[in-house]
Amino acid sequence: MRGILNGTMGALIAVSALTTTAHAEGVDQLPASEQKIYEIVDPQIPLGASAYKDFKPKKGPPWKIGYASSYAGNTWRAAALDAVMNDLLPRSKEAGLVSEVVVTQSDLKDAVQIQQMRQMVDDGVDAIIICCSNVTALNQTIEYAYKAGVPVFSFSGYVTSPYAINGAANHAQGGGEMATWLAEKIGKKGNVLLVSGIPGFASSDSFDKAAKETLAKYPDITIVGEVAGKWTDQVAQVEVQKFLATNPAQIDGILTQGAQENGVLNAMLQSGRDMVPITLGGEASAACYWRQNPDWIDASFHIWPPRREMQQMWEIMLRTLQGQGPKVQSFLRPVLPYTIDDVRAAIPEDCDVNSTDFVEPKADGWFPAAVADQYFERPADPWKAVSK
Amino acid sequence: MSSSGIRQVTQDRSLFVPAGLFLVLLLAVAFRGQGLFTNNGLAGAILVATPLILAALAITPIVMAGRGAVDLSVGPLMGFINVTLITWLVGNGITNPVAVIAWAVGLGAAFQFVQALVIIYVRVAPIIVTLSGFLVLSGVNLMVMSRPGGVAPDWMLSWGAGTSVFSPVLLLLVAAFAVWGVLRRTMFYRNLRMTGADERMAYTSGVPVDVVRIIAHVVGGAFAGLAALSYTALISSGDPTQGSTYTLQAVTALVLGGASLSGGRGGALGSTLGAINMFLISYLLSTFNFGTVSGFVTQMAFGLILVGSLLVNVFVTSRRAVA
Repeated sequence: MRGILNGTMGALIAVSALTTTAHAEGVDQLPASEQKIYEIVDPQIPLGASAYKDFKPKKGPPWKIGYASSYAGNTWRAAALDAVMNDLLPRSKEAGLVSEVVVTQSDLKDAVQIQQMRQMVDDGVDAIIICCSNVTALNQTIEYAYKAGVPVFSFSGYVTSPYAINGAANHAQGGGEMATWLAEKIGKKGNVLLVSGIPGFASSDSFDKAAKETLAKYPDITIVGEVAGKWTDQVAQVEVQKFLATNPAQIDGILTQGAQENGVLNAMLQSGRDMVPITLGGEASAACYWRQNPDWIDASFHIWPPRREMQQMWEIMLRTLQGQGPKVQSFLRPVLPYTIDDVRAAIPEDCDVNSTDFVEPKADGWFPAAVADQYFERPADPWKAVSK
Repeated sequence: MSSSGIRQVTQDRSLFVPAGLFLVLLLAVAFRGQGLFTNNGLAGAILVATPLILAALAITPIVMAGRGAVDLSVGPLMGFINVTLITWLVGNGITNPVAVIAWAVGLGAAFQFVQALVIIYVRVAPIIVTLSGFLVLSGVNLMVMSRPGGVAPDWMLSWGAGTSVFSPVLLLLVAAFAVWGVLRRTMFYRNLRMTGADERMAYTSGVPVDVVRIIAHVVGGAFAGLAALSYTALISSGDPTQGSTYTLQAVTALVLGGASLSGGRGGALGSTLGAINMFLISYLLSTFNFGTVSGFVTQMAFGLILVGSLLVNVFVTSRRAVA
């Protein structure tokens, strides 16, 4: 057993050593202001140079895009898909850039997603977008796509394949910042309940890892429980209710991932306990409760705004297909804090506490074109219409 | 294989529906596009469908042995073999193919042996035992490997490329069929069917029902080992949670293949057809573009096809009982 443990540790050390060297190639080409975002990072995230620096698409524009989504059962995925079908696709069609988007759903089954991605490649799509999937299981399939000249873009989560391009908020940094905020908010001591997303998924694990490391720095804070909300309000609500019903202990704060905080909030409201600080990640429903109770908390964070993250990936995809040459494998964004004033600006006073929408940064606020330009070898406006 | 397969289909009414559905799906897929009938399409199909086919095969002998023994533990067992293989073997530099395959098959067989002993001697209902197995292994898998990672041995990486029809993954499938073909000719197979159909009668006729049940579990466990190998090849890494999704899929494939969950009826051909049909349904649905509602339409269509074919199946088999 000891031998096994040593072997695992050795492998881990080797892997982390690899990431440091890889860091030197890709991210170092970025300006200092952007490099800062990469300081606290999940060690598994590939930070090397992109394999698509000199990429030219097989044909086009217009391009045919595949969106191999792994799940459809929550508001976040619905908002991301809506951003593609009702905003990005029509705009791209108008500019003559994209002809069609093929959408598939694999219901969290990797084998099905692998089959669907291979099917897309065989069907002749020009690029594939995936979301926050398993970090390693798709690597062979991504390589299969790469060999067929089809780049794969993973948004709101990374994959470890060298042939993919990842774009997301720095979820590790997000977990750390939200944990710090909560710890300070509850006076650096007390019991915290951690509501994870889907354990085993990239962004969920990055968040949890950094959040726990941050809370460990506060000796008087104890994580009294950990439940998985699956990024779905209803699931989070049931899981937190179960926890509260079976654990009479005092809870001083709840650290939850985004896209499920309203479920956590509802569970607290139903339990009859006094409200405690809860981390918010952008759901309009929970933001509405905050708008009505402005003294509840003092800050909140855009950690994975669905439409903006999708837009970011879409623009990276357009730029890559246009041959602009991405410099890095992983495009990370810092989490953006927002205040009650931003909420007041985003949603009306008679807002809906059951809304399924999200409060999101402004269109150009998440991944501004000027910043994006610095990530490419040959930057240009990705939305420039193709001359007929 | 194929000629005896056709004979089985014409003789066994419970295979009518899976075989019919298979032909219909094949036609529908062909009508929707030629993607599947290319070298890469077929290679990918074999790569993706093999873990499910083998998982369905793994629970077939166990369910045939009766007592409502649906082996719920098969998915996490595949996951367990997968994560231990990646963490304990490959993580310690053991990548010899013989060792890896022996570990996978041996671990599967050993786990099922233990489950069989509990079922027979502690006399707990099989479904409870395998449910416990499911829960225990789901937890253990996360202890062995807390999140997806690691890499499959070098020699296995090429298995997952899925660019050649005659790949080692196909070999795993053929090996499983060969084992089953040999078993069918033994006394054990006849005893297995008798035990499953009526355990009391089998016992009074002198069939060693306990030994039969143990062998059924061990064979199933060995198949689960092969399933885990093909699954590891598919994802080329370790994953602590994905294996569990195979339990429900394997049971669905089994029922779709015409097996009876109460035992006695069932076989490799039916389970294989059931698993291939599930793959084809999923493939067919992926050829449509449902846009924003794709998630719901896909799941609904999947469910409707399953319910429909099960209803027809019940109709066909109950008519046989009347006749």
